Amino acid sequence: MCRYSDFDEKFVRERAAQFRAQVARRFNGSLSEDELRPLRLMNGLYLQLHAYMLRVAIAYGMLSAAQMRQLAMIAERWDKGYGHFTTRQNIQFNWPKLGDVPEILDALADVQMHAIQTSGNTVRNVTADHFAGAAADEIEDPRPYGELLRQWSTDHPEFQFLPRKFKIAVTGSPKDRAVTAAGWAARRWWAAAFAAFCPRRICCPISRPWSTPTICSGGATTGTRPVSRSPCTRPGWPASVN
Amino acid sequence: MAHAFTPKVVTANALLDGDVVYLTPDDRWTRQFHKAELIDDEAHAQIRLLDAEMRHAEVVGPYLADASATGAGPHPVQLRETFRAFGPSNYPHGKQVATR
Repeated sequence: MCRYSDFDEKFVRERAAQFRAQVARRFNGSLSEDELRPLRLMNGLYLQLHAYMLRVAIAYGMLSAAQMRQLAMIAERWDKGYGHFTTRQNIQFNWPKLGDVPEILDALADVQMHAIQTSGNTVRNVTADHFAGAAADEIEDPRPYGELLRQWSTDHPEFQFLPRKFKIAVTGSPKDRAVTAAGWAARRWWAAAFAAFCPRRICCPISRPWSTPTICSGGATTGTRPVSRSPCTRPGWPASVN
Repeated sequence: MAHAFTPKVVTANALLDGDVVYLTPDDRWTRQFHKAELIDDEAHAQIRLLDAEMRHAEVVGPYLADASATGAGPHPVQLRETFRAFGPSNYPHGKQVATR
């Protein structure tokens, strides 16, 4: 289960407060729609055909009972009494009002949830096998990897404005219930991008990966985890993923 | 030869709740397509669109949508506008609920 550190808590609260101020500025005319749009999209808020839509991240598909109850409360209080779970293990509220969204973000923060990076050309919420931890055929629990990726990718300044969205799914089982194979085309693009722009390995502290970025040509230094492009040797996977 | 102009309505999404709205002849925003101003002159349509774009504190993304005249007022022509006017097609949980 994803648990916020003090840093996470502070960060999410600050983002909710920032969004509250941004919406207020849109209402008083000091922000135009063109200026607000990228800001609301960074907080998971779309304007769709019929209404606004808020997509809430569920980190690697794990929900506690308290979080589920809070989602139900949000649906009852600020939506039409329901939400839609997505194929990528998020939940969408399809009828929120713009002025209510800051309240919703605060309510999400109360149960360590948010809507950050559920939209836009960035690294999206990490998904995992929905049977993680309970699957009989599981070789390894994918959730710790999901948590590492969550910490690494959240608000990572290098990946906030990618050419297109980038989605990660993790599975620890030979049976691909997390649908990691759907990302092969994107993985090829990603590998090519790294080869072109990141010829050296990037080392990142695990807990706060982007705060003190370092680039190293050798192995990881103490307290860092290398994000290397080791060739994938998994049976049945195409060489193109490398 | 001048092309035939398809009548239009000005439509947008309301800023506060994102609901689909239409510009009326008396410069209000209505949620009902049949109460919209049906514009059958291209130049006037452009002027009305400019009027709507000036009202960015009320609506988001105004544009001109094709419409046809019926005895009950304007009616959407395109499928997309039909969805916007009457609500989602999967089951009634949009405008069609409010108008029941």
